[in-house]
Parts: sequence; structure tokens; C-alpha cells
Amino acid sequence: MQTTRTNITDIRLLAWTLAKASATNQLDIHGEYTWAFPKKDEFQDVRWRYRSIFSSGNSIKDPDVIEFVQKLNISQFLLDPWTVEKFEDDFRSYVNAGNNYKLKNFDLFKYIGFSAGTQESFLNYYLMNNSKRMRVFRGDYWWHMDIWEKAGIQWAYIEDDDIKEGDACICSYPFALTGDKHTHFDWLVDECNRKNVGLMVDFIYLPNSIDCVDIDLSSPCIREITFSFSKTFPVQCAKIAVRMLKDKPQDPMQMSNDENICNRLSAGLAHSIIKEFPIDYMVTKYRDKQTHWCKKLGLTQTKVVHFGLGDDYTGYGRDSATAWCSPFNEQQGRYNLGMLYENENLLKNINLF
Amino acid sequence: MNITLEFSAIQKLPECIVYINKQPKYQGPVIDVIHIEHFDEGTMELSIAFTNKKPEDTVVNSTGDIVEDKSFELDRIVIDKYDLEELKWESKYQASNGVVYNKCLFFGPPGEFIIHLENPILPWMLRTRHRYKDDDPNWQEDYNYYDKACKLLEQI
Repeated sequence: MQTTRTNITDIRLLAWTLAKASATNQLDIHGEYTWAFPKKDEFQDVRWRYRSIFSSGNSIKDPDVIEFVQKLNISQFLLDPWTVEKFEDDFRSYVNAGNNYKLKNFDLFKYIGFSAGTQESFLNYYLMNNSKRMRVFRGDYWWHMDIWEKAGIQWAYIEDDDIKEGDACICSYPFALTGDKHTHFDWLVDECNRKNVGLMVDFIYLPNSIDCVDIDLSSPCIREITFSFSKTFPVQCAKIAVRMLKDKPQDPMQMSNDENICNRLSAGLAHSIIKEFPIDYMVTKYRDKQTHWCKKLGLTQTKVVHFGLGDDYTGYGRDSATAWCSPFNEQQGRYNLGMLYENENLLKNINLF
Repeated sequence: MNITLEFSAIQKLPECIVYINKQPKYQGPVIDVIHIEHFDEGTMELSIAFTNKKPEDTVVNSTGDIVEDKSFELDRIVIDKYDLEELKWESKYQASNGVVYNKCLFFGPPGEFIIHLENPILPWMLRTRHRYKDDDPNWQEDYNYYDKACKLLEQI
């Protein structure tokens, strides 16, 4: 990481300005969460929001996707019993059409299931491996560790102990913290194969990545993979994800799929989106903007189009005591550039572009 | 700046004069809410003089307890949407007889409530709070960014 040239002064001014604009309703595109809106247009509320402007891994709120989604009549999907199946049928070819990554032996994953966000897949993974010790690299999705702690599930960072029989691993690829392949990912695959340990690969940022993912999915340890929509398209709160496995699972999520009771509103929405927007839509549209902002702010451009890496601009905002939602949410240095892309008109008008 | 003064426990029609830097901004009966404006930047003294208190306004019983009095209390000071909250106690009440009561919001004896503030009020609040709590070392830097962001967004 290039930490010495991060333009903290400009980053802070941008963060304060976007936070203030959140409070005064001046953004080009508004946030989608309650925490994105300062409670009052007052200093301390704006200050709180300022510290989270570049956090989260959520998607770019692309105005064209938003407009498309707003015009859909998704209630129609409730009446169509094949809604989820149609989406699942088309999802495989949708992923296969991407040119920015290589998923060798993707077709080995015969069993596809709609997931209420990847969190549903994760919960089922925890449940079906409940006698095992969960393992992740430091910096992976904080939600895992937080839930494991709260649920009393045994776990350990991969850095802290050898991979052993009786472990169950999860790794995001591109890696959540860095927007690149984890430097020890190949080692992890080898270890898991050697120890007969399962490895769930979370392709959370795959559609937004370029020249990052190159994987042979035939490795025996890789038995299930997940894909998220909330990091690719601005439908975060529709909870859309996909899980794929080599062997048919026997768990609650699969039962929901088998029963045909998955969320058709979300599945129909997802199906509509993949028919309209190619999987590399965000990379194609925003790669130049990523280059612009990373250059301007002294950030290292990552292989995920909405991330840049640099020094922590808050200084005091993301330690374990004040981390967002969870003490495990330690994303110091990873900048979600989405708000900069989304609010280009505003930033140009005030000469901050 | 817009200053809102909120009063309560108003007894027997008290009257006051509100001054900023010794210049009267309001003169009349004490009412629940008094609004005044002030435009000059920099340090300022806000004072509220209790003007119509007389000895006969205070009625005591045979044991010397006050049973009736002309008085009022200052509840809140809100400046440009910021409630001073605990910082209203950064004040004194200077009675006409020369006695000074620190941190007094009760207008009982004739006299004058005095607090020293600044326009704009926000940096004064942040600095004063930090002086007491020692928990906001970045207040000046953050305020400067906030102020700059406000000015940028005011352009559009």
C-alpha cells in the first residue's frame, strides 16, 4: 500500500462536504441506509457521518440502474412460480459472459440456489459446519467474526493457527479488505486440499473486478461459491445473492429453494437487472473515474472498481472501539469511492472534482 | 446570529433588558421565548438585566420564608440552532448589591445575568467543551473542514 502520498487534506474536505450535503439534501444521489443521513444538520451529526463516507463495500449507486429499477413492476414476479428458476437458469451464463476474470471449471457447480443476501449462505455454512472451527483471514468480511462471537461458534484467524482437520474456511476473492487476491489464497487452497478442509469462496466483488480473479474451481476443497448483488448493483436492501455447489446441499436454504418459497420480488428484480446490464457494467463505466479519483487523492487503485487504498482519513474513526457496527469492522485504508462517482455533478459545481 | 432565550417559572410580571455588548436588543416583559439577532463576528457579551425588581415584590411569612416573589429562570440558550446545554452555566449572575453568583440561572435578586460568547458560536462551544472534558483534541481541525464544507455548499 502506498501510504505516504495519500492526500488526506482533500479526502477530509470531500468527506465533510459529502456528509454535510447528506444533511442538507444536496447530494446527487442519496444514501440507502438510515445511517447515511445525519439526524440533524448540525456539526456533531455531520461529523459522525463524515467518518463513514468512504466505508462499506456496497455498490456504486449508478443512476441508470436506479432509474431502471424504479420503473420495474416487481409485484408481477409474485404471480410467476418460475421467477426464481428463470433467474437461476440465466445467472450461470451471465457470469460466464464476463471477460474480466477467469473461473475455470465453473460448470462443476451444478447446484444453484437463490440466497437472501450472501448472509443467508453464510449462516447455512455455519449451521452445516457447526461442529467445526471457522477460519478466515484478517480483513475478511467482519460480519463472520461478529456473528461467530455472538453465537458462540468457535473460530480463529487463519494467520493465528495452522489449518487443521475439523476447520471450515471462508475467503473472499477479490479479498474484501484489499480488492485484490489475498496473497495467501493459493496457499490456503493447497492447505485445505491437503487437510480435507472445505473452503467457501465468496466472489463478493467479482463483477466489479478486473484482472484479479483467476481460479481453477476444480480444487476439491472448493465445494461452494457465493455471489453478491449488493456490491455490484444498487439493490442492497433487496438481499439478492446466489450460492452454487458441486454437490446438492441439504440445508434450510436449499429447502427454501426446493419448496419454491424464495423471495420472488428480489429474484425477479435480479433477473431483470442481469437481462439489462452486463456483468462488467460497473467496470466499464467507472474504471476511468476510479483512475481519476485515485490519482487526485493519492490512493492506490485496486482491481475492484469502487475501491482505492490509502491511509485512514479519520485517524480516530475506525479503531475497535468506534468501528461501525462491529469491533471486527476494521477497514482502515479501504476507500469506497462510490459517493465520489455518484455525486460528480455536485462535486464539479463546487470545484472539488 | 439568531439567539433564542427560553425562560420558565415567570412570577409576577418581571421585566428585562437583553444586551449584546452593552447594546440593548430587547426590552420588555419576560416571556417564555425571546428572540434576538446579532450580526457582528467575534467575542460578545450577552447579558440579561432584571429591571423591575423592587423590595416589596418579595413577600415573606412570619418565619422568614419567601412565599411570593417576582422572579424567573433562564432555561435554554439556543444560538443558530445550537443549544448551549450545559455551557449556559459558563455564566454569572451579578446582583445589584455587588454579590456575584457563579453558574446561576435564577433571576431572584435585582441584577444581571452575564455570559461571554463568540459569533460564530460553534467553535466557542467546541473549544469550551474540550476545555472541560479534554475529549475532543481534533475539534479545531474538524471545525475548519466543516466550515469550509458549509461555505462550499452555500454556493449552490
